[in-house]
Amino acid sequence: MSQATWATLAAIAVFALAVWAAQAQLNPFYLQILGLLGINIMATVSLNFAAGFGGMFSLGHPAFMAIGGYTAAILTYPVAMKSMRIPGHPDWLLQLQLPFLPALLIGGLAASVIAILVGWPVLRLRGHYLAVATLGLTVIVQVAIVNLVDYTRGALGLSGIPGLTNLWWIAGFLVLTIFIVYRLVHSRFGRALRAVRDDYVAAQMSGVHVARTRLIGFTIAAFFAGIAGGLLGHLLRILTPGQFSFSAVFLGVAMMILGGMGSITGSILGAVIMTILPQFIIPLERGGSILGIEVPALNGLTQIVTALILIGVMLVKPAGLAGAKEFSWRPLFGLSRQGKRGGSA
Amino acid sequence: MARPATSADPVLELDHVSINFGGVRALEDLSLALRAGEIRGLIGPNGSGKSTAFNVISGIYRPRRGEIRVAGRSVVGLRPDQIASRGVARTFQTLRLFQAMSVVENVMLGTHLGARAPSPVSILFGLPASRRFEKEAHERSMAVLEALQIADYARETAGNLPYGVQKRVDLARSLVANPSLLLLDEPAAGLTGAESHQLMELIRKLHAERAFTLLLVEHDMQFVSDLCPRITVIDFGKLLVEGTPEEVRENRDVVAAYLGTGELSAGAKAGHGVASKAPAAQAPVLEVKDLDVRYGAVPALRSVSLGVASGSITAIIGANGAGKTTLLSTVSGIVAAHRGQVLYKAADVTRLSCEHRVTQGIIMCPEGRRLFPDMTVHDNLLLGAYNVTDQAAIRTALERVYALFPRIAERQRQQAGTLSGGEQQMVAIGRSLMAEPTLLLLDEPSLGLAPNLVELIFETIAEIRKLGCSIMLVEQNAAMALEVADFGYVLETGRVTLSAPALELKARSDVIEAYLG
Amino acid sequence: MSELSEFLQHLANGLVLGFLYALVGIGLSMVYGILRMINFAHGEILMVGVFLALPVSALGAPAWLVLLAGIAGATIMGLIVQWTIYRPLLRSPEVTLLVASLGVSLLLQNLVLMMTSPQPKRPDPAPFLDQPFRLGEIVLRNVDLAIVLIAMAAMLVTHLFLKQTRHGRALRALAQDMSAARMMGVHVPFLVMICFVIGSALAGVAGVLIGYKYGHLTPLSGFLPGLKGFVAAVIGGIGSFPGAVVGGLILGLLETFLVGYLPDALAQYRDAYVFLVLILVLLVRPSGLFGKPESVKV
Repeated sequence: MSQATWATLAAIAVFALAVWAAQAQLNPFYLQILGLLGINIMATVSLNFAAGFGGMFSLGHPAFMAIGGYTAAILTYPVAMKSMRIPGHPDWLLQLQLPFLPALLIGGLAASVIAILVGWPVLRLRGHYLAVATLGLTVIVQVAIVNLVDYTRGALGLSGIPGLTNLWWIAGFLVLTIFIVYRLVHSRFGRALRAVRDDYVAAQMSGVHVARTRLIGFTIAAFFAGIAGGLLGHLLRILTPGQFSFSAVFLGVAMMILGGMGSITGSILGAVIMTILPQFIIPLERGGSILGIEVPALNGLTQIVTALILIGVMLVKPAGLAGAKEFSWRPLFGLSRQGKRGGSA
Repeated sequence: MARPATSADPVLELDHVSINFGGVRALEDLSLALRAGEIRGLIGPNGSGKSTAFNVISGIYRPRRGEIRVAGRSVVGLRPDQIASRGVARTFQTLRLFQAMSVVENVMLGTHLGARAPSPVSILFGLPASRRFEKEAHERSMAVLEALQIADYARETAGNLPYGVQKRVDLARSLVANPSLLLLDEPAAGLTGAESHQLMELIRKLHAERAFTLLLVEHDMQFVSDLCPRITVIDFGKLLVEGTPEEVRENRDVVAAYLGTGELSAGAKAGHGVASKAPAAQAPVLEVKDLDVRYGAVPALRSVSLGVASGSITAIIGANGAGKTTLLSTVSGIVAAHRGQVLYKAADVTRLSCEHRVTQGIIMCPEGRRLFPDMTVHDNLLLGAYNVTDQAAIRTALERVYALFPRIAERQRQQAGTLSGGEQQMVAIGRSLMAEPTLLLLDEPSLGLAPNLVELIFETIAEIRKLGCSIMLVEQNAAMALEVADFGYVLETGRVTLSAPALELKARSDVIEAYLG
Repeated sequence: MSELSEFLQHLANGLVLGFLYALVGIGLSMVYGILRMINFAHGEILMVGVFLALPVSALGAPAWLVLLAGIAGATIMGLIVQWTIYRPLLRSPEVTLLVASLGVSLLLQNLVLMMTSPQPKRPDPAPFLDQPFRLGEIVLRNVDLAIVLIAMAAMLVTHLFLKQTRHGRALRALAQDMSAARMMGVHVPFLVMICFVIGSALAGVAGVLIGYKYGHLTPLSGFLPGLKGFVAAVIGGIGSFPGAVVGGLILGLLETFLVGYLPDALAQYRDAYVFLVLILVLLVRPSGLFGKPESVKV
């Protein structure tokens, strides 16, 4: 195995150690934030796969998270509470209670199925039209969740979801997501996907089936969004339609573009910053005294900061923090001198 | 697709192919056959349908009528990627590289249709099958890059590279697919003489090694004549002539198609020769000095210097791709100059915006008319007077235009997009007259028009000169342009190669060479 | 109520709603026609306009003055946004403008949220507007009549501007061929500003009218009308002024009839239907009723 592979495995080992330490030492509040961080990274990386690498600027990611989240939650929901709280489902479902992993995977699959159904007609659209159409999907899914009260508990939200996840699960899926997305991007498929993004006419002339490539990319992104949604539900132990609204859309876009579209490293960076930063701002929203100065309640400050980041990045550095550059072991080990010429990236 | 393919079938066959765009017949009944291993040139004047032919063969457009067969099997109605899988590869006039990807990745796309694509499982876990595929694809790509002498650029981002390198990347991408039929779209465009010679040698060598069939579209006649033993000439979407380079060059129809024909009436010729001295002898209304213009990495004009005498008609002629439209666009301000100066009435306007130059009296009548199709003729004309606030002046200008072109006076309220080509050209010229230009820039006014209309347009141009306006006229139809002009410049691949009074130019045979090599 | 009366009632309600959508859609359509961008913040400009008019109303001003205040507020907001954010990004790739306009939308929503109290607001009641207005068996309020009349007047003024003035002509030309328009000496940045002024002003009209009709104003009140205005513009053919008008009316009627005739359980999905319509139109006839299909350039 190459040096880079050893280095990556070592890094994963260190990461695992960190997770173990966190799980053992930190209080639940911080653990939850780390959990959210992991989920946000997953969501951003998968969104970037479709939008940054695939050129499909989709505003429908929250919809897929919602579908995956609610599906997984309904499947793991205790039978006793199901008939009381979400009686609308068919009997066989009400009697069913699955363990965490299968439920999570089925949630991801459900999101994928919707992605295929929606994507097949909609992915023909370009640019702004695709954005609005997928935004419409987010609206439709949110409205559906709110109104299908017997299936989802509507606007009240589905509380009492079993707390079946923890930092290990999230960390594990996070590593899996990054690994899969990375390998896909640097494969024949990933090249085809990026070629379609850059110039679909020329991609066709190289033998790429444009519609199919886009659909596959879109569906894979939706799958991971669904998994992220499932993890979210079991981490917070509650799911509400409000979590998958326009704010979620904006936040997702902000994380992705702050880091830089077309860079996995960038997505990680963007997600980290946009998850940690609000933690410092939220206290300000409630008002109080900072350094002895009285600050009034500034409602919506987090969103304003998000908005300013969106606008600011576009005005100042549209490529984002990482641009299209990816983290590589090469500079650290001086591999550029003796390594293989080229490589598949 | 009834009959099975045989090895005696031509590699490419077009059988009475026709396609329309709106009302324009882009290809009409075009038939063409290429034998295995043949190198064929496809040439024709601007707008003759060459690019359309390529786009139809590669599946981007679907012909309205006719058959297209690759190795004996029909490809009509197939998607471009399906046609590519039949062994067809092409380059693009506009390159169409994957800008954000590295050079080697661009070329590796050419291996997409390679044998034994790895399975998803194999990709995910880095199993031997996928690693082998990547290794082979990478090696094949690097080999082609070496052959084209751009291997050093392998890891650079394609979008950042100089034009000449980008062109080779485009070529490499199509070569690595090992096509049986290769379509090259203007491979020598934008290259210097030495570069295009190098390219020609390269293509010859590769053809000897790989024995593909090659169909080549080019404007550079020297290039085509040297490389292609056989040439097909098309005009107005129809087949004109097919033969060896010598046969083509001497064919009268070909010469006429490129250089145009026609004579002006005696009346129109009166006043001709008034400004037949070289522009430098009088105060020129326009002077261009050492102009260098680029489109991104593509050089379009190199060190161009010329002038337009006040009150004269100055013609700029040359083959397609020579830079004529770029020249007019730079003078009008639509395109910015990289280096050099544009002097109007002795004042430096090089950095002045297009909108500003219009108020100064430099008015452009663009190639292809560019009317506003959903607006009426009347509104189009009024737009020509956008900066004029004096209502009386506008009315006078309108009357003058309607007097000049009675045919469009009848169609005032008609939507401009529904007019015929000739009528649209009249409206376009009329629109440019509305602001009483001092310097009128006319870009290919006769493009795509029937001969009788061409004469009418040129007679009108002669009339316009009487209004005291100076005219800079770009034309592919050299014959007519030189009939009406006082002075002429010949442009070849971005440089001025000849300049003389129009009467002199008409008689010279090297003008023909500039077009036909 | 007889079946015919019910139908006519829905028809009337639908038309009123349709005029509102038309007012919003025109601005979006015009901006897209020239800049090829969807101004996601259009709805927020509408909202800012009416929020700026609320204090005027609180001071006891008559309704027409409140309307003017709303127009002024929206127009100024639109100009600020265009000048500071969209103008620098004019030559950027599509995605950049899209993200920026999303950012502006979020920013405006939350700035207003931060500066006002959380309760929904309404303009001070104008008793005249609330009075019922009967047309046979159809029951409306005076405000509905005002909406129709004012909207028609606003659209007429816009139409005349586009048709008869030189700047209006230039605007139409810009949408069809920007570089040819420049060759006529049209100063693009100036005309883009005018485009935003018109669109924002019309949005301001819509905002105040919405305030008087529905009365439940929050910082989020602009987002859905903005999106629905976009759907209206798409139905009619984006980039087309008559298209936006017709599209708005069609959407208003469609939404009202769907909500009116579907059983309650399904009627709640009214917002979802609008987006389903959008997706359908984009798939079946993306150029809308009056638009022209965009061709691939190779």
